[in-house]
Amino acid sequence: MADFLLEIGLEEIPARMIADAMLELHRFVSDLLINERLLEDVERAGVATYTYASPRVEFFSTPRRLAVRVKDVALAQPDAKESLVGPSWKIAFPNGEPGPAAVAFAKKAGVEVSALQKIVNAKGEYVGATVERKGRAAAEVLAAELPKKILGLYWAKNMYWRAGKPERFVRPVRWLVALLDSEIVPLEIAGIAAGNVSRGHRILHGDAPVAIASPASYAEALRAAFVEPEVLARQNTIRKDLDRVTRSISETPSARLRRNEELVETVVHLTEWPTVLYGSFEAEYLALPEEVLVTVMRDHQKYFAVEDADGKLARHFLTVLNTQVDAEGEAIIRHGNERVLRSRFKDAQFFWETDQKIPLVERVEMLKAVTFQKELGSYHWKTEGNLTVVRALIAMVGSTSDVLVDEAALLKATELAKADLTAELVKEFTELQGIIGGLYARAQGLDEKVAAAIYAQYTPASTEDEIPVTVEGQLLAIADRIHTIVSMFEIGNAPTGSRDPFALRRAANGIVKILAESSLPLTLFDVLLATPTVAKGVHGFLTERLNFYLKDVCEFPYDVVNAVLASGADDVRDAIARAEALTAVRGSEDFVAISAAFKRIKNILRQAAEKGEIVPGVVAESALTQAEERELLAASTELAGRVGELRQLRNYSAALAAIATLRPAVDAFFDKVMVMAPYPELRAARLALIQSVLDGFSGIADFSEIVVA
Amino acid sequence: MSTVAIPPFSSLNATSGPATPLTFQELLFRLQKFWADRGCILQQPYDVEVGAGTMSPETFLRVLGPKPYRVGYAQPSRRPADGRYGENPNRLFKHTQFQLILKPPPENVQELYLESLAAIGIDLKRHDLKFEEDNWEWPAGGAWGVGWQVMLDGLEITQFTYFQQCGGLDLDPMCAELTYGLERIAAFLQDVDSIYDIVWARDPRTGTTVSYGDVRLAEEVQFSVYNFELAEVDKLWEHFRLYEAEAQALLEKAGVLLKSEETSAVEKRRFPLLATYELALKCSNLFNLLDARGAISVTERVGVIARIRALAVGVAKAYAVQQAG
Repeated sequence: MADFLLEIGLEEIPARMIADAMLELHRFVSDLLINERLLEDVERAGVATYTYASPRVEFFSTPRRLAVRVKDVALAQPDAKESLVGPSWKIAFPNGEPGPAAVAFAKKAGVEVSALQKIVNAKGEYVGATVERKGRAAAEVLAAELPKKILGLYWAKNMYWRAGKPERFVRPVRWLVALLDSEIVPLEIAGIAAGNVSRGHRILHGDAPVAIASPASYAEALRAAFVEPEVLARQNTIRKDLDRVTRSISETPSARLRRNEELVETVVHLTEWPTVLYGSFEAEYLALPEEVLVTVMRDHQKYFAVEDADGKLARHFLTVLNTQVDAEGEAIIRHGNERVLRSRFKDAQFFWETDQKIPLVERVEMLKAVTFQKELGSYHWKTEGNLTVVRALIAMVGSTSDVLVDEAALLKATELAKADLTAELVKEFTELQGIIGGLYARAQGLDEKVAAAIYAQYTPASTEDEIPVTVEGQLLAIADRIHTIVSMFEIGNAPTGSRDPFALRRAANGIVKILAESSLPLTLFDVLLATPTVAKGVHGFLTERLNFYLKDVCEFPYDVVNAVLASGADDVRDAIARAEALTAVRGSEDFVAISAAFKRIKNILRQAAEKGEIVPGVVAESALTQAEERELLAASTELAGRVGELRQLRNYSAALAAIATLRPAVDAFFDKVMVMAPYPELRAARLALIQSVLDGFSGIADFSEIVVA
Repeated sequence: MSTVAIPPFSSLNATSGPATPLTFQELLFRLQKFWADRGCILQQPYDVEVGAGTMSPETFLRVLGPKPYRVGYAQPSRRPADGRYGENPNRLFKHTQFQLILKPPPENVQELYLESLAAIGIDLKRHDLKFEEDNWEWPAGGAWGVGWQVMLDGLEITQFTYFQQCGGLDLDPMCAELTYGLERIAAFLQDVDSIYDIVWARDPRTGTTVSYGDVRLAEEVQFSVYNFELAEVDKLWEHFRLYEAEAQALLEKAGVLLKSEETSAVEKRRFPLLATYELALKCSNLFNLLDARGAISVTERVGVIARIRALAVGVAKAYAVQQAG
């Protein structure tokens, strides 16, 4: 047994790609070692190979390296016996003596003719040979197999660098370490031969080689060269340092860090030896909207924001360095970062002031020069379209409910919603579109409802994001999205497979989420009807997104979702309520029986239809002959009324509880009654009976969809 | 082809740093000297309007084909829409790139780059340096590459690109393109908040300084006025059409000539593709001017870019054939 270490030294890997690459590398190495019988692994039993990562494989990464270390790798594959099957016995041994075929087979298998055996299998008698396979040395297997695996790693964007373009990888490979204990594994990747020398931090360690004596000493050797190879260790250091440095801000004693896990994840993969430093900016910039300041700090500079005791943004930031410096160095680096931030804020301030010279109202006309979509028109055209949809939605909401819509504010917000696309500040910070429009509306003295609706029009940006708070914001957000979806479908830009260049799925997810979490009295179909034209496929597309929402966001079991959607998929909140109720009773004994019965009913009806049987609309009670069927008819008729009432009240738990009481009658029916009776009249009556049971109780969900374990 | 590392060079021991930071022109001298000492030829700025150092034929055409090449040059780069009448301290209509092409790049190209920072007085032991992913493309030139923006204390000081394609052609060998933003770096070294306050030159005898503003402010103001207000749209279009027509005509000739087996090698070599490329560059600059004037509607935009692309890519393809012939 030996420990194995592989380190791939690279030029800086894009931070966003490292985590996924590590997981894949981990799996590749686990799979290879296990499949090549170099690593025993009891835990793997029953786990699909391609998703497996052995716990004995540890991984490391920094921007300049990916590494794996495996404990207890066999130095060689165990020898194995292999049984080979050759030609038919009769042909190989005519008259019981070995013929040419037997000799050839023995030669091919590498055994004496006398060692050949007779094998009897289902097809007949054959010649067999048992061959000893010598296990290959681990070093040999790794050198032969691992490079191919490594070069097969997936990268979102890769490059070639050697003349003749023999391989593509994320960035040039610059060194390799491959060791089995202290022995170098002679593998080669992209023209680089493996050795036992790594590299340290570019600046803190410099170009001096870093010798790796053995896999066990890998992390320690790197730490001595100012590289922390463990991702989690860097993450901990960064988290702790962020807190420590925040507490040390003397100008704002009660300063608090604005936590941002996503940013931590990024800087973890941008550093080999992280330390944290804080800097400050002039209080005058706090007059700029917080959204702008935070975007500059977080997205453009990868800084963490800090707030004061009241939760207001403070005039400080934290930056994670990829180095460790003395006090003089800290002063220099702090000064440099402050300088950059100041100039960015100054830019933002300049744009903000420039933008105020033309109010939003005057910018609407300028939208004629901003393309929404080449084949469709400008954002001015888009604004007109949104207005049409919004007017239709107002009419629907106004006539059906007591949700109060400020019609004038909503129309104004819709008219101005896209005007910020012409603003300099939005050109600079495209991710703040909508938000900036809202802020400008407020700054320009427009009604707060108008400003809030413009501000929130692009929310929810994801399924985790909040929906707009105001009714006007919700309606604008829905109108904007459905108009985009329908327009794009019309010109053939519907998403296909994994391709969704216009993010229409995300747009539709937003509509579903708003309908689910607001109190708007609108169904998916209403939303669709509000658009001036109807494009083919949009309704199905919205239903598919509802399906996604119920399964992936609400996490209802898939069979419950299928059952619920089969009974109506238009009213989002109603579908959620039905799914909740059904999930609660799904495993109960009565419901398992009911589901089975409904499946049976459906099968019988399907088979009957295939045979051309006509199912009457009314049950001919007089034709029924057995007590069990009369009983079922009575029970179901009585129950259907009650269930209908409960359903009307949307009391789905009670309705489902009531349906469960039907079980004895149903069980007895299927126990004693044969639906496909020989007499046509009786058969028709029975078919009508089960059809009426099916129809009467499928309004909440199609129980036949429920999968019984 | 093997990529041989350029040995580290220690004669320029700038890490101790001069007492006063480098002037704008000294910064350029240092970079030129540093790379000349490592085998690069130094070119002068290309004398046709370009938006970036990449568009100079020293990059755009030299990267094509198998012939190794190492060149460095400062390139004034015009972006008419970025002009701010000299009022914004961080934005310019015309900025200066120091552009370096290493074809093929030596294996230690990143380390050499770090040495070049030391050569301009940056003590990396007291700074924070990161290579952050930043990929580059110029669709109109059919060119793209992967690489990084080099961040020094939060400031992007260099664009480092491994060029993969140019003129729609795979580059083999590929090359490294290093683009130093000279104004930014100078403002950083001199610790000034406005580009216009950068010391351009200092008289060594009297200590009198000339600022960036002294040298360039008038140009920024006047070109902002021209680019945004006075450039005549009709004339610009007319110029565009004339240059485009001439370039197209030459490209057609080149197509026939380079394909023909009757043309002699000498004739092929003397065909003026370099001049054709200049005409394409003229179109590109006129497009930028028209854009700054707000004269290109968004619907037109894609079409005009495609016309420039046809010229630039057309030249690149013909040039590759000419070089191979």
